[in-house]
Amino acid sequence: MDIQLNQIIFQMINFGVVLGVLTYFIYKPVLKLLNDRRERVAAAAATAAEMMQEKEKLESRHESILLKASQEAKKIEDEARKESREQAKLALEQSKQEIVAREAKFSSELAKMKKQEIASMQDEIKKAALLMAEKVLNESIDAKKHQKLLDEQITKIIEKL
Amino acid sequence: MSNQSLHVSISAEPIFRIFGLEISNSIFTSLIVSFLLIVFAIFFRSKFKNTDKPSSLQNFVEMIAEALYNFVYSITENTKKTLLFFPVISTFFIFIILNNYIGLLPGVGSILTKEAEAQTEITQVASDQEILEAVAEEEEIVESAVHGEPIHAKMVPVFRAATADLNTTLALAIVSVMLTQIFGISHLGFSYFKKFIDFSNPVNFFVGILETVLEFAKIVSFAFRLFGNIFAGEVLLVVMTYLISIAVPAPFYALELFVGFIQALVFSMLSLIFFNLATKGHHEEDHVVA
Repeated sequence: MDIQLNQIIFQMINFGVVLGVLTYFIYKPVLKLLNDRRERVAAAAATAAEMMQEKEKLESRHESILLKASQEAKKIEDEARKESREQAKLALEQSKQEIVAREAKFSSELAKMKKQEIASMQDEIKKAALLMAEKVLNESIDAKKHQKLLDEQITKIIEKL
Repeated sequence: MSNQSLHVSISAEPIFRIFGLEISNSIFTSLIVSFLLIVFAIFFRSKFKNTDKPSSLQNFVEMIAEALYNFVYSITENTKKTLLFFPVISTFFIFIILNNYIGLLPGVGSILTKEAEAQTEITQVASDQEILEAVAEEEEIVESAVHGEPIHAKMVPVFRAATADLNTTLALAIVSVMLTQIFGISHLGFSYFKKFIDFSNPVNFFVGILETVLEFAKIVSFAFRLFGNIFAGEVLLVVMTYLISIAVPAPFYALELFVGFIQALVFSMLSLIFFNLATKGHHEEDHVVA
């Protein structure tokens, strides 16, 4: 083996030159490019993360708005239902009252008509009975006495009605 | 079996000389690798664009750079340290793997040239006997030339994987260990030397001596591991090709591709671990070891 100092030094210089040239012409520009690219990718990733956060924020806001809207809609619906129920109840009450009032009116009218009819019937029955009695007895009877007797009988009949 | 003789040399052979510096075939090959890397780097820089839609070449380089960056970061877990160590570790990996793989190319080791003559040491005083022997040798060569006999100069390969030369692996190991010290001092200041010189108690003092020895052992370990693996691989391929040159060497080439990658990775990873440990305090280091 032949170890020569001048050859060792020559090879060290040779390696040094190659190192210098490669560093200047290749490593520096390529590392700068890679570093720039890495930074750009990191910045893009950060922006993407920010946008993701923004999106999530908007989604949650959207969801809360939807929730609020549905809650409000439910509330409005409930109120509407309640109101309609109350209105229906009120209408029912009014109808009932109206029916009762109409019934009362109808009953009073009916009673009045009945009373009028009975009064007219009473007169006619009295006349008929008086005539029938005059015919049967062929004599005139005491009109006042007869009237009294008839009133009592008619009163009994009306009470039975 | 081939009739040619098997050429295996543990050391790199000189092929020419520039300004008195002996250029061995391994240095020549590593210069070619360095030249190719530099040309590629300049070409890449001219085509480089700061864009998100890179060309296929830029995409390939980005992929390798990112893989190496992540590899360094997985050990350091610190961006500042990663940026500091990344160029050195990447260059170690690329330089070693290319030098490992160039040794597997056809022509490397098989294209021969005349070996450069050894330089005469002027300062060395030769004995009379040595002078007489040299003169006799030269007279013999001249006589052979006169009688028309061919002169057999020693033929050596033009190319040899740089990592199959101990000088290159030692150079890389020294760079790695030197950078370890530099990173250690730059991060911890003079307290870095407490690792080596600690008089707090006899045990720590002895541990300091061991740490000092360890730094030198690292150089030897780095150098011989890489050199041994790559040189052994080359010898294996030469022998297999010499014995049966068809089909049989193919699996060994695949194995050497794997070994070349693993050795580059091991060298880079160990350097990285040593850099990282050097930048940690003594207590941190204990914590990491625990």
